[in-house]
Amino acid sequence: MEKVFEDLVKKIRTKEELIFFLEEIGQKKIEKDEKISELEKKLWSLPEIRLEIAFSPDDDFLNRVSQWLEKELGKKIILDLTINPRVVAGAIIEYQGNWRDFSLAKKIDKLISEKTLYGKF
Amino acid sequence: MDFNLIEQNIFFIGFFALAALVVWVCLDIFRLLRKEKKEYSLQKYFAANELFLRISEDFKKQLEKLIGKEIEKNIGEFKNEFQKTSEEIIKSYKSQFESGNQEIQRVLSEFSQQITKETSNLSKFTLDTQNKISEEAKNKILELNQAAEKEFIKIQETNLKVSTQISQSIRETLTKKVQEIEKEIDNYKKERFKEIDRKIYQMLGEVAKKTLGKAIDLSTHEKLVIEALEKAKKEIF
Repeated sequence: MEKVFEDLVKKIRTKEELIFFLEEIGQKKIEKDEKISELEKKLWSLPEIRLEIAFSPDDDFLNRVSQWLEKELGKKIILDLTINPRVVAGAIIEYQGNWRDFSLAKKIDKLISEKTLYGKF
Repeated sequence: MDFNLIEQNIFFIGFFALAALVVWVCLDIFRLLRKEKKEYSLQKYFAANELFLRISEDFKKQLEKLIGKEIEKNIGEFKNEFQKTSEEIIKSYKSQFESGNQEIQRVLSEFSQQITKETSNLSKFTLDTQNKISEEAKNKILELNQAAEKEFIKIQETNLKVSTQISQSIRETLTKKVQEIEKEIDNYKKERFKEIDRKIYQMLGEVAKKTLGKAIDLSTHEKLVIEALEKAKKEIF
């Protein structure tokens, strides 16, 4: 069971994939025994990180990010991705209630407000 | 008219003097009669005491007649004397009045001449005075004119000064107002420019965001996301 969980976790990178997987289990009417329920529970209990980015990432990038997070945090992290072009570039990140805006949009806004404030561009 | 009054007065004075004399004579007679009576009572006294001196009735009558004659004589003399004196007095007064009249006429004549002379003098004096007053008035008017002219010049100068001051004050006020308005316009311009700048920058930002978002290639996007994660690692992981 542990091995199944580990394999699944390796495959699941994003929350979308997690929900998709869980919905698949539900659609195929796999009999829900205790082990599956435990698996679902474990999967739902995986820590998440919310990323708001300006582009649609490809698989390679998702893998890289997922691996980087696992490496840096020492545990499997599910990516909750939102694509928002207004971010322009970079990312807005929320992890365990902490929120940071590292987007290019914020930098542009800051730059504009500074320039507006001092009347220079 | 005045002479008549004086004559009347003299007449009344004479009349009262005559009346006083008559009264005095009557009183004298009365006194004499009382004395006789007293002598008669003395006779009585002497008779009582055997020292009475008898007087006959005839003697008494003769004595009374004699006394009466004497009195009448005295009254007549007094009357004549009084009349004479009165006439003399009246005559004297009349002559005095006549001479007084002449004197008055003389005085009047002199007075008339004097009046003519004085009138002439007065006319001359009036003319002189008039000329003098006229001259003085002319001088005064001239002085007043000069003073008025001076005052007018002074007032003009004061007015000029005051008007200059007012003009300067108005100019200063206007300058101040203009400066204030210019300042307000400048502030308004600055505000408006700021607002326009802000809008422009907002638009520029929006444009930049859109264009940059599209302009940035995928690898750069990925690189920027990784950089964001690196920063997050330092701050929140």
